[in-house]
Amino acid sequence: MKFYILKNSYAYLIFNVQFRSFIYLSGMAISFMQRKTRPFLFYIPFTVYFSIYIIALFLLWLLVNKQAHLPESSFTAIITLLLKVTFATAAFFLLFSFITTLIPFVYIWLVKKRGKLVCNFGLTENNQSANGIPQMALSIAPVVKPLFGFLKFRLRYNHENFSPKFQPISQSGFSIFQKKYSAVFSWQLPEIREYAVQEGWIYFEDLFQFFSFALSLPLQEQFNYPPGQKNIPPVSIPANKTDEDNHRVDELKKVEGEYLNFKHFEGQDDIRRIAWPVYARSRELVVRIPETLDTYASQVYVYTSCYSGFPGENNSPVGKHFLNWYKTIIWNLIKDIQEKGFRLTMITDQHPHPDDPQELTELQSLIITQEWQLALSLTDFVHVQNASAIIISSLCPVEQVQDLMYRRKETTLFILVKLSTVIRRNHLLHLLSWLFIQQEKNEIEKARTAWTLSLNRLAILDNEKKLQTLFQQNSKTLIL
Amino acid sequence: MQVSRIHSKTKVFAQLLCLGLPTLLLAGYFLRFANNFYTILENDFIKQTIYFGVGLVAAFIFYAYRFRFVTTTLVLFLVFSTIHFILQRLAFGEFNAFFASVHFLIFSILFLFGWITGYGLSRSIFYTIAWPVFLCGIQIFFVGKTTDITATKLIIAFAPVLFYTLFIIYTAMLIRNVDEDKQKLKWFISGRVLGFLLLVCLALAGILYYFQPQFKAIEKEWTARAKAKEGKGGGQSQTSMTTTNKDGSVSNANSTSLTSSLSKNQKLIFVARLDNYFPDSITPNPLYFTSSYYTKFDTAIQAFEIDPKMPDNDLFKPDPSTIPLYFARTDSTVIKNSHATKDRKIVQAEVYAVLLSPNEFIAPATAFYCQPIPVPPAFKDVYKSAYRAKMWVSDLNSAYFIYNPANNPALEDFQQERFERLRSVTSYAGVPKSFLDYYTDMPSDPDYDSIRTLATTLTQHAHTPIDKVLAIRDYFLSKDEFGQPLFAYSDNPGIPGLPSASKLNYFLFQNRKGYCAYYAGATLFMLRALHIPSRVAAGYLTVDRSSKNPGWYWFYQNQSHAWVQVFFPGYGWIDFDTTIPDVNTQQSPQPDGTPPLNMQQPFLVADGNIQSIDTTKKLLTLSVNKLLFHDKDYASPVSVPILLDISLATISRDTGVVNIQALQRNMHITAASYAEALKNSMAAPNDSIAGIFSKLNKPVPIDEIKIVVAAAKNDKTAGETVEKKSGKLNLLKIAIIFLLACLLVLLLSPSLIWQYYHTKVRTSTTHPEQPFFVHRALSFYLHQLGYQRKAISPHSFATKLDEALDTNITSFSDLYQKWKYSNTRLSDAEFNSIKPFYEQSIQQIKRKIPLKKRILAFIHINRTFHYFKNPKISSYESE
Repeated sequence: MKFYILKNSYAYLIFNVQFRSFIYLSGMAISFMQRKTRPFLFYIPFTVYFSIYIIALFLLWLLVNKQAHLPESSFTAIITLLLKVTFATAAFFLLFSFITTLIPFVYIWLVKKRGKLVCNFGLTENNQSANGIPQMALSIAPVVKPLFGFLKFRLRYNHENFSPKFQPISQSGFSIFQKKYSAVFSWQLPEIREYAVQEGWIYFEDLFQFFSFALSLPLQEQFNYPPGQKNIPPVSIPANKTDEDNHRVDELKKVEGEYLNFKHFEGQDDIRRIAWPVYARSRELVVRIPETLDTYASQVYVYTSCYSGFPGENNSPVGKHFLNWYKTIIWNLIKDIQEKGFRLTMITDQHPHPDDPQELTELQSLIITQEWQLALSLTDFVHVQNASAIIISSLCPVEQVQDLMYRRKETTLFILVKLSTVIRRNHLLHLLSWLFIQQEKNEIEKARTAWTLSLNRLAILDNEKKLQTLFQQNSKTLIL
Repeated sequence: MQVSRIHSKTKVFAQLLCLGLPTLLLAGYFLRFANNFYTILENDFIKQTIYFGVGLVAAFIFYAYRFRFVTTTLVLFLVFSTIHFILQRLAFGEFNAFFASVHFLIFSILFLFGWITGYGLSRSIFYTIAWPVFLCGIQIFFVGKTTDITATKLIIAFAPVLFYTLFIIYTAMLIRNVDEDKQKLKWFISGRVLGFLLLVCLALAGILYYFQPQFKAIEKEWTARAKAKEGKGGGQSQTSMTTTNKDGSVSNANSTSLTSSLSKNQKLIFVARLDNYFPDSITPNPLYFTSSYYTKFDTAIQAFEIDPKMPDNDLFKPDPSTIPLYFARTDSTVIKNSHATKDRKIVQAEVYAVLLSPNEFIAPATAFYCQPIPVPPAFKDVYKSAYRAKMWVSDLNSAYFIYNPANNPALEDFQQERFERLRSVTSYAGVPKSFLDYYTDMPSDPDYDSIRTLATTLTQHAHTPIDKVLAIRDYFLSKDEFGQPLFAYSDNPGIPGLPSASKLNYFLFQNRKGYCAYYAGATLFMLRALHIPSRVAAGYLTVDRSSKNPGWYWFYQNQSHAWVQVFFPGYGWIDFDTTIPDVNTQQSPQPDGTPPLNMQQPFLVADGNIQSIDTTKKLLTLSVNKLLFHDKDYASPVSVPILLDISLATISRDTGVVNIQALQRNMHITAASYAEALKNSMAAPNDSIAGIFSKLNKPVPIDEIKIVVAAAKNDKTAGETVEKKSGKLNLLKIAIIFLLACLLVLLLSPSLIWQYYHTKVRTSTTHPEQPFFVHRALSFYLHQLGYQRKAISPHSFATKLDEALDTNITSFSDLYQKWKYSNTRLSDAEFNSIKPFYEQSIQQIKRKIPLKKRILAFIHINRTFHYFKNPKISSYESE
């Protein structure tokens, strides 16, 4: 009881709010400082390998020198000399590394200072490599490569995001004094979204990668990271009659009453409809199902909702990963519908497209720009009587979906994109595999850890389960 | 459960070749080295290298996939531990099981070590950098411990590890950073690695060449140590009675100068057993151990000196390290030169050197016999070498006799009795004049007159030489008018007040403080002033402090001493110590060590040179010249070979125990065997060495090997080493010149190739040859200048060239294509036009492209490689 009072006291409330604010603001401040100071760290002229090497040499000196306790003996004299030789060799190669890296750096610095540096950066002609990752091309002229060394790059995109340091595949042949450096690289990006590269850095690294001299490059490029290909089951979406009858589809669409299939003969069926050729082949009496053809029933209104009832996850690794998956599924659905020849109208709860995009690239751009949002709820956004299909995610509150289902048109298809299946939690078998296999440190792994630790996980799973039950109880639903 | 890859197959292959192979070779090198140290490894370094290699390769392949290191290695460790546990408990014969488990243990340790290294080089940057530096440290330590110190060997032992260090760091970084999607990846890695190899070779050659004088200096110092017995050491700021050699061993200083201070410390120098007892045969009678005699005084440097030309030299000074084990060296002339016939007996001593230089021979006067003996195995860590000495010892000599008996009535009586006996010597009549003149010589400087006066004053009541000696001794022990001792012992006698004054004068008349050399020196001059033949002896004073082990004496560095020997006709040289007792010496540590009792007697001792040696099987063939079999000497003018099993032998040289690697062909060694198997093999009375060997089962098990360094040979060897070194230096120079020549040839190769084609064009006159070579020469020339055809057709390329260079190559190209691909021969007119066209084209190209650009283009080796690497693209011929 006492505890209850304390927990609900005003003082506790004030303390809790203040404390939470402090933690939040501190975190923000640290994050801000990190973002602001990080670019300066790129200019540190040596690498962590250099530090390891120096420490190793120091330990070597410390340990070997400690052994040389026999004064005036050959042992001491020899190890002292061998240490000298070791350190002289190390010094020579460090100097060699330093000079061979510094010269190309100074050269390009002077060229840049005189405004004669030419940089080109952009997507390659193919745009993507075989696995759908954007492929970028980069060229710089003039440039001198460090002797036996490496040229590496880093990019700044979408304001304060930095790519890891990477080494592109050089397209130039081997030459020390090459005038132009051209290279391509596949950029594995974390999210399906628009990207704007705003700055780049070129790193001159020596043969041992002990020294690293960075120079800022004026690189600019905007591009989209598109959703990938995903096989989804064929979806049959009932089309509406077009608003304007001037759009005729090339393919006839099945509407109610079409002769498309056969069914077994029943007592009430018209015997004139018996398909005798089928009987001749299979000794089964079947009758044709009546069909009607409507060449103008081609308009499909697809509502895609990014409404999230779990704001805590909107910008978390889990939310980002869910969004990638959601966008991929929407994109593949839309592509499928478009390929069937429907006149598609995609209505999103953000950035409504005034021009009613029909081209795939335009639709793709529209999907890519979607984000989880809180502003427009599902019930406010979907025009139920008009909708051919409504795509929702597991983050959509079940109450809103329930409401829509209650008001829906009979033919409207509800599609639920299950998100929990994207991130598999570590079960016992996975734990075993985790013990022995080191997973790649990528976004999926980050999301998996965040998902395991997420406070919203149970609530999301519960919501998803309820949605699943709701979908199973109703007809014209699809769970993906 | 699918495990994705981290490294592609190409990368793994590159890792195995560039990281695994050098590591394996280095591991083999280290294991070979380790086999010489650890018996458990059983000299099977090839198999052990394979174990390591299997672990290394397995890890490279395994960790190309995304497996975690800690858990997977732990599982491997548990598997190995379980197998080892089972093997230990298998019941198929305890002995076999033990060896199987030991073998498995070696396998698993090496495999795991290879496994960890494989993982580290494949996946861990930290390990890649730390591992070679760690190896470098290990090698520095091992090379520092080597006994065979020559500049070349040190460089050869260390350079590969240094090379490996740089190579591994670079190659690991290169492979880690290379993009697997890169085209011609293998060519890229090979090119980079070869280029780096060239760079490292040149840099290391330069660095090691720069440091070579310092390596040589160490070698020189080491050689100097071997020559320390000749006595050219010193150089310490403080004067010591002993000289510390470069290896830390101690020799007696060859001259004892009278400087301001004497440094002494408590280091144990040697331990000796002396078979000299009083007539009761129970009470040990210690004797001073003599190292050398100082018979001359150099007034210029104020120091006593050894004079090798002293008359009737009775100093036996062999180098025990040059005498084969168990073989003795005897010099009977010293007995004759001692001129001692009365009250003498032969006494034996055994000396076990701790810090004493192995070249040094120390024994009580007058020694005439030296026999190196082995140090018992249990004491090898403490004692480096040992020898047995025999001396022609006077009954009148005793440490008690010359030292103050400290109110011991029995010893005082003993002293008096002996003084009485010496009182029978009243004059030096009958002693050769040259002998007397030499041993009574003293500087005629006026400074010494005061000493003469003092000596005369002190001995005015003494009539016999012994009484004069005792009078001088008593003077040093006398007290002043205040009852205080007149003289005092001091290691720091101070600096003389007057620069021109003799230090001895200063000591005798002003300071009256000094150490043994001052007392001995002063006594010597006073005795010589009285025409009593005398000399200063240097060595170690013997203090009997061991009640537990009678006859054993421990000698510390602070027991190094100088005293006076006085000649008495008939009795020879007798020791007298006039030094005031040193309080510090009396407080020397009590010996608490166990004496090195050597109970074993060898059945066979063979002396000769190594004919062949197999360090793996530990077998050695020795060409024997001298043999000691069941205490009987055999010698043969012709060397007789015998196979010896040295697997259990303790190998030693002057510096102590060494490893099997120290044994080399043609080396002079002595091998001794205590094997029971030889106990019953007896030699017939007329047996020769060959006859005895024929009776023995081969290989003969050997327990002791001592490497003998002959003094005469030493110089020769040093000469040979210098010759060898200069040979090796020349080799290094030749190698550098060769490398530079290769580099030059490489740079000139485009020009040489071009000259070849050019000459071929000029010399070829036949139909098929000329168009071919004209085309070849022209295409190569243009390719080298940067005009590469790449993927366009020959005609288009020729057109482009004509546009760029203002030539007429198109017509020739068409002609060449026609000649090549059609069956029709060229007409005479066409054929005749080829050569002029060629010369004109070359001239035109030269006009268009400046000389500087052409020269630069012709050192562009990459283009040459490219020309021959891609003939389909870059030459017309293959079209």
